[in-house]
This record gives sequence, structure tokens and C-alpha cells, in this order.
Amino acid sequence: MSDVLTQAYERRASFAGRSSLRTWLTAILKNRIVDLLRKQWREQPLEPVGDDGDEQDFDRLFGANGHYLDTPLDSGNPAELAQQEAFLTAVQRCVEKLPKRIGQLFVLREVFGSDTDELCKDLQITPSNVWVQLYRARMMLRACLEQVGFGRTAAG
Amino acid sequence: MLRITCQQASRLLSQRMEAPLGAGMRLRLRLHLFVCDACTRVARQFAAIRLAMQTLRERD
Repeated sequence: MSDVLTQAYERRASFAGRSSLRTWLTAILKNRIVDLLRKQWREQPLEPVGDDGDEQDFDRLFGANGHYLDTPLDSGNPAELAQQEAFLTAVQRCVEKLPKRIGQLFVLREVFGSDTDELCKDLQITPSNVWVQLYRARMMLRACLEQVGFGRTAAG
Repeated sequence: MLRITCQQASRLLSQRMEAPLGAGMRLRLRLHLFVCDACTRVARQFAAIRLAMQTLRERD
């Protein structure tokens, strides 16, 4: 973290008046994380998936007719839920439990706001691969969150 | 064929958070959500997860 601060100090003139220090530091941090991931992902690429390559992943959730076997939990109003401490804690725990690569991709998307174009370029993967991995992340998260009643029951 | 399964609908629900769906897919998804409580719930769950990440991001 200290080299980030050094960089920030050295380039202080360039961000003054343009964006807040925090925004700027976040950008540096994002670039560093992307650099790191790019290196890792290049050495060991994420297994490519085809357009329907994910189907078997969550097959067990669905009946022969393609409908949910267990009715998903009614989590209520999303905006209200997203302000509740118990839910936020549960989300954090569940994100930490994601498989490493999928978790990294999800965090780049939802915390650093990288869009499909950026993710494809930065990580050298295709748009359909990005979408399948994010779908997997969301399906794993909703399964994990259902175990704690979407933050409405204790434990987790 | 306008009917899609919950499995296909769930995938579209995630995909539309990343990029606009084509008109055909958008229609299929809308029709599916109109008759499917399960996928309507999944849509709200996905939205809650995204909003929670936003709350966490803005917090620190």
C-alpha cells in the first residue's frame, strides 16, 4: 500500500482539482489489481466456456422441465435489503467463499466497476466467458445467501 | 418459440446486468417473468446482491 501512497504524492499535481484523492487512489489500486490478475490469468487461463458450457453447472437446481426445484426465497425489496447490516455481512462472507478466479472477476465487476469491454481486454477472455463467470458468481452467491435466509436469520 | 426455462431465464437475468439483451431475448424474458414467481425472486436477489456491493463500495 505504501508505494501507492508514494505514487500519489509524486503525482499529486496531476490529480489536483480533477478528481478526489480517494477516487484517484482507487484507480491506482484497481490498475495494480488488474496488473496482478492479468499476469496470473495469462499464466493460467480460466477454462474457456462455450455459450452453453455452463448448463451442467446448475442443472441440479432445475427439474426436467427446466424450472426451479426449490422455490427461491423471497428476499423482499432489494434497495432496503442492501442497507441492512446482517445482509451486508452475509454478502461479504459469501463473496469470500467464491472460487478464487470467479471471486476476483466478481469484485472487479461490482467493486471496481469494470464493464465487459474492460474485463475482456484486461483479462483476455471473451464476453460470453465474462457473462458465464458472472452468472456463476451470482448463482453461487444466491445459494450461499439463501443458507442464511438472505441475512434474515442468524449465523452463516 | 417464445417459452424459455427458468434456467435460461436466470442466465438472461445475469446477462442483462452486463449488457442490453436483444429484442427477442428481452421479450422472452419479460414473458417468462410475467408468469414465473421463482425467477421474479431470483431477479430481486441478483439486484439485492449488486446493491449490497455498491453499499459496501461506498462505505470505505
